[in-house]
Amino acid sequence: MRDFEILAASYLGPGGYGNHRNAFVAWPPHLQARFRKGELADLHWSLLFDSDPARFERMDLMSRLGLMAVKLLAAGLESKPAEWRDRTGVCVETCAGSLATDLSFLQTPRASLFAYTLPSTVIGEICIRYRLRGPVLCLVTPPGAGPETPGALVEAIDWLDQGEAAACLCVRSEGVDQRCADILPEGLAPSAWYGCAALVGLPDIELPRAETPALQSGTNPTPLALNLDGKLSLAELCRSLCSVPEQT
Amino acid sequence: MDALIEDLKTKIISTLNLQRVKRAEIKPDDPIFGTGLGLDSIDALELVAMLESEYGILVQERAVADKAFASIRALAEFVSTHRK
Repeated sequence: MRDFEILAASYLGPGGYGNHRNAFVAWPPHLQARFRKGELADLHWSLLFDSDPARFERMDLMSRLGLMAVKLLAAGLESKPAEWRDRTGVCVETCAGSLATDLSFLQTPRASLFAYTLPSTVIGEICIRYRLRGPVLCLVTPPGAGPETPGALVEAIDWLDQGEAAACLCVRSEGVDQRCADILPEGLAPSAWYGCAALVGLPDIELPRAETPALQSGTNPTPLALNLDGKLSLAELCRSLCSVPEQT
Repeated sequence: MDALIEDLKTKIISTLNLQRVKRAEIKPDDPIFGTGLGLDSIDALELVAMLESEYGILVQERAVADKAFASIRALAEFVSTHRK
């Protein structure tokens, strides 16, 4: 299998957040306590970044997590040239999908909820924000999807191998709550909400610049060559690269 | 009319979950859509539903909606004229 490069990785969950270049940051205790209970009113863009994306506060959890995970990459996506963005794809994988929003919509049908009753809506939000025009795909997969089963990393490699894209944002977003855990088959529900992302690309593409001062290490990121004959799923990859503590 | 304008501001903020917008920041004559609050077509659907549920007003034509939603003041005048 062809080698490709992981140019950036990120992770955020109830315990904290981080990316591949900086130490994992735990949320302040008061936030962590709420986040672990699934009380997410304070999980907002402004916790980590400036200038909320349009409509962020009205997005569902799945889209918020996806957007925040991509922003955490600190990969300079906003300043990439058009030709780069035209060849950058987005592949989202999720187990819970839009289930939480579907349940909310069943309870209270509203136009603003309806837009998010699709697991692929987060792709639209990412592509709109970063003006990406490469291939896109949303996969509903078990939490442990890896190279042997369809997952975002496998699709990204295929796109890169086939020349359909020069880079790809692989995103996993699990906007789960207790209602989802009650419905999903035992052992299938993610244990908690989380979002993670990886920017993967071919070895000869230009390195992205770090763009978020709080997460900048002072040196350009070194791509992490990875042969996917390893058995990592996207989530495991991101947790590993972001040094997420085991108990998080 | 001023009271209705304030009431509409409150309902728009709660209906559209504009958590970071304060009533005082919404100018009565600013556009509701596009610039100003930056609302979009999904928000328009929500506001149409709100007009029906809160004021008993059914908006069935795009042209009527375009005029009514031009600004908060335009919306207040529309509600004042058509409410049941």
